[in-house]
Amino acid sequence: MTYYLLLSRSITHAQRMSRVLERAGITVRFFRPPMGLTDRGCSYAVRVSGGNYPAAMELLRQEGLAPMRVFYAEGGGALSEITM
Amino acid sequence: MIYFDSAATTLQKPASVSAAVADAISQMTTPGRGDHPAARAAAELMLRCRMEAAALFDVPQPENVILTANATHGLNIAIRTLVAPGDMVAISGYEHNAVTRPLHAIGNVSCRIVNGRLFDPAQMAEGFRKALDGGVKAVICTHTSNVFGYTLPIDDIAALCREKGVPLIVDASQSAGIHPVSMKRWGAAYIAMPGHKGLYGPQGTGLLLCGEGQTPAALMEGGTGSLSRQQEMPDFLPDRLEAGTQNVHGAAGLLEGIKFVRSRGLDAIRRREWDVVRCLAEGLKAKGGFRVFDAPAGESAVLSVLSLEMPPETLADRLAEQGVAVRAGLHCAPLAHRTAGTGETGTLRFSVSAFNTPEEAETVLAML
Repeated sequence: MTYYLLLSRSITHAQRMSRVLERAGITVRFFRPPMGLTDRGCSYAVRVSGGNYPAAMELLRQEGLAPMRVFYAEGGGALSEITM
Repeated sequence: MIYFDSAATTLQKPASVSAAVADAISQMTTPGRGDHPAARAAAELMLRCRMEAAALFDVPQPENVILTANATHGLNIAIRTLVAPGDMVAISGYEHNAVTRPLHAIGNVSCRIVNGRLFDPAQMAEGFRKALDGGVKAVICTHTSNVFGYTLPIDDIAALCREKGVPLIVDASQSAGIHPVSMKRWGAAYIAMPGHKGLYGPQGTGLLLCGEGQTPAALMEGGTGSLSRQQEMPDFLPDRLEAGTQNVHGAAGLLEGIKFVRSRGLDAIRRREWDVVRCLAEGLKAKGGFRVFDAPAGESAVLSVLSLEMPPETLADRLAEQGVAVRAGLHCAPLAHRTAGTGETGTLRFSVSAFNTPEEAETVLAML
């Protein structure tokens, strides 16, 4: 199953992203991502399924809550960064 | 005890406040550090507190609601962000030491003090108009005087600041939870307030509302649970201003206090408080022997008086012996007393909350 990790700058940002998406019926969960994904240290990631990604990004941009960085995970779990 | 010292701290709180504090102490840790349920619960609570405050004070983004230790903390952040040595600022003649002491500490700050008669908002607004002639870096103004309950014409002052492009800092210590306070309408740079007065939260809580586009200076640097490799403080809110472990149980109580204010409604709270203040003011005037500094109808939860027979401290002591809590002295606002002409004596202050009744006022009047 493919999914995307939307990196937030803080827990407040992650919470607000999650609330906006959940309110729109997009199921998400957020968590501390591995340190290797963040070059400046501690962060949070909001996980969105591949099918919901376009709608999620549009919603977050509308709300002024765009993620800092986005990673794409293929079925095997390997992550690659999406250029925004 | 009859408690008439709510301008310092409200003593009677909604029962939900202490219950929420107790729950938070036993069930929550700190947001943004660990990622376990106790940390998550704390994070959820902090966000709900910001959102509830943002709804009450018209703040577009909950991130711009900063949890502080008190109003003084927030005012220090705001003042030290906008004012540097050599600057000129305009302040009202009714400011608290929470404003004047930080300005004094910055050093070499010129203050244009806008004086005006008590309860004459038109004169105050005109004074600020004259003061904002181009050299002023910031306006700092209390919304309601903690000594006299005088509510300044902050709508007019905010409009002037927007017109002149001067950032405005509002001290809403006595108005939050009583009068409408609106970041959106005022377009202020910062609005600071305590949690433990009209918002019915615990002591040790406060809010700093940050206006759009502000990058406040961090008073403290430290851990935020974000951008940990970076040695500069994060440039985003609320993390930039919330270094170190947060007062989560305080925020839990504050959240319940704000919910109480929103559910009861500002108009109903103000009406209730005014009923008590009016009873005190009219009773004292009818009794004679007092100078009563009473505000226009419906304006105030604070009443300052002077006995013509004894100093405020003596009278406060006598009332305390009979189980009545009031405050005497300068109320940490010597400038306000100088402006009103009570600098030599101070005043005796009655200040009420949504939990007081006119019957309590009648009881106190019978003691005087």
